[in-house]
Amino acid sequence: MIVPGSIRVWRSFCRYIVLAIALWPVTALADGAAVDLQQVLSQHCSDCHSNDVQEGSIRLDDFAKLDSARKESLLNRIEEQVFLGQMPPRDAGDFSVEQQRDLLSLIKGTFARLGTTSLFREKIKSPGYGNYIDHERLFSGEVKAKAFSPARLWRTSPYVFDSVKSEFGADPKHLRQPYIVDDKQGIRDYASLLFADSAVVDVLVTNAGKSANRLMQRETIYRNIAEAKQPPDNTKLNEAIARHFRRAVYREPTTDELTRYVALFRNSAEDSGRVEALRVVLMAVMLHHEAVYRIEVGLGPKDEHGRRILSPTELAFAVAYSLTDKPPDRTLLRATKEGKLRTSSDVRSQVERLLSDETIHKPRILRFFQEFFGYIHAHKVFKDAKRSGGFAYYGENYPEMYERDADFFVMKILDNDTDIFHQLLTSDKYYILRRQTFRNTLYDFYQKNKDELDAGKLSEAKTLELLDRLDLRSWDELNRKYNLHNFNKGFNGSVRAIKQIVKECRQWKNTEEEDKLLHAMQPLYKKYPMVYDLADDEQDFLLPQPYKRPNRAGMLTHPAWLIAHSLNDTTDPIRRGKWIQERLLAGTVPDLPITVDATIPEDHSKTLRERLVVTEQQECWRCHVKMNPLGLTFEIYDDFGRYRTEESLDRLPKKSGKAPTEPVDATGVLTGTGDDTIDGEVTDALDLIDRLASSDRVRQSIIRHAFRYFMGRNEMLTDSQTLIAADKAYQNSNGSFNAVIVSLLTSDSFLYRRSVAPE
Amino acid sequence: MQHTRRHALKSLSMGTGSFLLTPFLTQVQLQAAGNASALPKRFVFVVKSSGIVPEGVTPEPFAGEEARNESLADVPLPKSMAALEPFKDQLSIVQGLSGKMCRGGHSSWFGAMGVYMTGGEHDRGAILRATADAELAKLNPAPFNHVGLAVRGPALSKSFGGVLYPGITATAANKELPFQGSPDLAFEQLFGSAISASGQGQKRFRTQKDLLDFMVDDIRKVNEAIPSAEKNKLDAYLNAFEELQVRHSRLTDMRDRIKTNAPAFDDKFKSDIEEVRQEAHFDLASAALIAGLTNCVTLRLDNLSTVYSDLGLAKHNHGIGHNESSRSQEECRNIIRKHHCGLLADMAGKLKAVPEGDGTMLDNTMIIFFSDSANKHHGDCFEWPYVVLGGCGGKLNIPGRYIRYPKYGDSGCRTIGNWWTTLLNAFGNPIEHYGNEDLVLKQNDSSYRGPLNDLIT
Repeated sequence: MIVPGSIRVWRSFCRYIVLAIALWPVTALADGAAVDLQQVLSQHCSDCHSNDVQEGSIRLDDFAKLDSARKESLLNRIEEQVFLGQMPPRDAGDFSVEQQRDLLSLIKGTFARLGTTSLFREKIKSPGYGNYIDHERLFSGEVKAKAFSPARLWRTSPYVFDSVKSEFGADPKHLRQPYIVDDKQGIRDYASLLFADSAVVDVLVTNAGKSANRLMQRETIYRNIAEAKQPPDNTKLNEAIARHFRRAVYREPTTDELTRYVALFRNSAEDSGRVEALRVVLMAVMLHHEAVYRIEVGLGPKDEHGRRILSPTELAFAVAYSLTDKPPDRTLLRATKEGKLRTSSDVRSQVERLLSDETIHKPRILRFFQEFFGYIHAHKVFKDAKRSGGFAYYGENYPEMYERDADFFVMKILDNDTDIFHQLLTSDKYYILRRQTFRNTLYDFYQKNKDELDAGKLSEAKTLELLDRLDLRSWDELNRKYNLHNFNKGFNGSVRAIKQIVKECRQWKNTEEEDKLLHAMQPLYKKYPMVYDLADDEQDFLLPQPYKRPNRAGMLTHPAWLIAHSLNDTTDPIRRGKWIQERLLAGTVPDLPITVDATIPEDHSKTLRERLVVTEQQECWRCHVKMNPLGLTFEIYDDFGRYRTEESLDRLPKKSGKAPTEPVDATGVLTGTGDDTIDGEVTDALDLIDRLASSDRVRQSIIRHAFRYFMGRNEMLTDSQTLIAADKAYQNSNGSFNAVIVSLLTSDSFLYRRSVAPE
Repeated sequence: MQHTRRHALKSLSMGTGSFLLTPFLTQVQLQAAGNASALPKRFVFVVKSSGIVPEGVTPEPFAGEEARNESLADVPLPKSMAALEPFKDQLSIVQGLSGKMCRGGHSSWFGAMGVYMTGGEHDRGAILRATADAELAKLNPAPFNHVGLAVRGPALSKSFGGVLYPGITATAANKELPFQGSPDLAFEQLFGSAISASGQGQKRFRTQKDLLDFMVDDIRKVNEAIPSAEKNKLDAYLNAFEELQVRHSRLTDMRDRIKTNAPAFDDKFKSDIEEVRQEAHFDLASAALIAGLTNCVTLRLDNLSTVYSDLGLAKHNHGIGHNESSRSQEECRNIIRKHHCGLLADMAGKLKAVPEGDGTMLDNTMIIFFSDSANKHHGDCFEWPYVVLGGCGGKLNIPGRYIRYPKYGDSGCRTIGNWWTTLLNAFGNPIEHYGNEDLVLKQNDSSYRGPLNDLIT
């Protein structure tokens, strides 16, 4: 393996910077900050970035001659390199933490005087850059600062909209989703990134119009206003407006708000009549800014550290939206009114209540793992069906169903709430749950209870037995756990529903043979188990499951994860390595420079690993050393997620009807756990995962991501105590994720707000 | 990127909102100066269901599979296309382009104009990107940037009327364009600012201003109490309403032109008869283009539940596609095509009657007629026929031509990705390649990225 020295890396960066400085405009020389910055750069960078030596085609001795666009671009680049501690390189001489801080401060000042903002500072607010905050410092305990989140507005989540839209008056089928979030990998719902802009407002206005139209048709209170002979008095209007306001904004309107809505009504009615006026008022209520943004500015008292605790109402929403997609339930609202939601301990009792109440649906917990692992993107990676030998997209979309299998895998582990991260990374107990599994299981249940069911009876004990076998607490859970056909979604466990499924089994399989009825799949599902390394005839997946699979360990070897992290026709060692580096090792990989043509050369006679040798050139390896040695260990699986020992060179001419193959080399190197007993060479992904699963760094990295998810932002150094507490809570609870949630949602980072100046 | 009020206002004047601030007068001046290249380019995407069978739109002398690029001038069109004979110098028939990167079957959904595989039998699937029609709409802004009109909803649904989501057009990732399914409502929405059948439209237009003024005033007041770092979020919200205010004002200014060009409102706009509803939607689309209300219309012409009973067909499109009709599928298709070509010819005639620059409005228009299920009732996407009407703004050298590309897998074969890239490049979007590549062609080193350069002038 080639590991180029950091001197070479520094030189290449230097080349880039020196060139840039040469173009700095003369006008900038008059700028004090630029001159100060120039002095520091000349002092620390001129060895490699001057007129004589231009490492990376960059010079920093002539900074002032750059035009403003290139100056700004270079400043962003310098800031990122210095922020990450990549430059100056460690072997280029002493550059203390204080010097780094001063240089960053100078760069910030230069941006300010140029009248522009740092794109890098903006960028690091994004989820993909959370790890830019130094991991060791976060968990060292040296930072004692009091934690807080910035006072903020947080745009309504698309999931909340979906879950509450039926309350708005219109037929929910006709209301469109206004709150689109980028469909990217990773945690996405960040308060600082989501805006209600024109695209959102277009949809909101349409939705508001539809709701208003239907409310005026269906609800007497509005119909009366529109149709009565006499104009409504203020009392009636107030009542009607408040009713819709409660529904859309979740609070009573203030007197001032009511006055303004009434004035809007009177004014519009005069010109266009009461029907149109009422419509406009109902729309205006639905477009209220609090129905679009959740306000979290900290309306509680200020403490001695300049922070304000969230008010009881703010807390009620913050807690509810952390775990559910619905506004606060009655108990939370009652606590708010009774003054029992003011302290961390009050919040703890509410969070613990919500977590322990199995009747309350808490989709946000599973969604964290979906977004963290990213397996829910499998269906977006198109695979050629012919190449796979039967991968189906038509009718049934296999990757989408593998995603549901992975959901089930996560849910089962969460149910036990013990040793969660280790289980998720190592368990070989998988669930294979395409629709036929559900139907066959019901057929089996019918056969075992035939007499009773044919007599139209089903005892409570038998119902419980069936629920238990399907791993359901109640029938309400059915469609959360199983991805059923629309016509099976109404299944309710009744005798009639069971017999309907039995009838379907017989009709669709077109057989009376009991063995086939019990175990066979429809042709549509025949190839479904192949990604679990099972042949077509190994298809007995009756519930209850799981199925232990050899050569597998946890989520990173689950077909859904492997497909989601693959390309159309190959595996994807680079992005898989990046995923591990960033999600499990809390590491960073700089963005791909725009000048780099990141194409893997086509050579049909070589394995992918051999073709990736191109990334070992010195200018590439600086970043690829962080990814390739991790990602290549997953070469024991093909891009469909099937285990393999040979890599097929399927674009070479076939010999004896088969494509030539090469043995898989899945060796790699694990570095960065901070634990010498774990770091080192690994034989393959299974070896890698085994080591990762016992790493403190990996546990802490997952907790950092959980923090981001529940706080809706990247961590700051001031969140250090929050993260340490969450980590301890996990360890002290024998690996309970609920303990992590309670710890995070009762932390100062969650409870307190402080206004921060804009960057 | 930081969303500041400054930034939002900048984008209002430079980006998507720029049309709002450009006086209509500018367009008139350009027209008077004969500056044809600066005149708006218009697009109408007419999307039918159940496929366009290539043989049905191939002039008899050009039958066969070999690649060719020939003049249509001296060649009779198929009988079912006779209505288009008067427009033959601005008619193009483009065949042989494959779309195997899309889902086949009853509909390719967003893939038809987005060039990727998505959806299932009843499921429209993921929306990965803005579809090509929406991308072209962005290049040619107008008060209504992109008008969606639909006679029917998704491929197999029975829905019609009201707002429909047929699953063919997306304005961005995860954002579907809403289509108006009721001609009378579309009439109010498009022309209601100036003329209204019921009187409701103008009233609604006036109260819309009340709403926008109220929202702007309300948000401004609240904004003062918001922490400074978060002001940009409410600014974005405020800007959105201010943009709508500007559009409202622009429509008010255009009142006379809208009034002059609005179609006469009659029973057609309230009819339940499929063929009449189609005619009404075509009328609306033509009038909206001529009035300058939009430069881009996507018209969902029918779906698999549509029954052309006025044409004497008893079976719905689905039944016809499955050969359940007492007549042959070919016969049914010819009857329907004749009707569709009549609608297309009517629209072309209206646009041709409007002088613009040195020519007519049709010169600067591209009406693209195709199907979301490619070449068959269960499209296999080996070939995706397009029938194009209009001068294409002089950007493409296809008017008056019959063009057929080499068949799938043969040397020189091309895909619908190349087709949509061609349109985008020709009209101002420099994208290197639009849509997904065909992986099978790619594996065989037969995939070509980029536009069909031979079609661009």
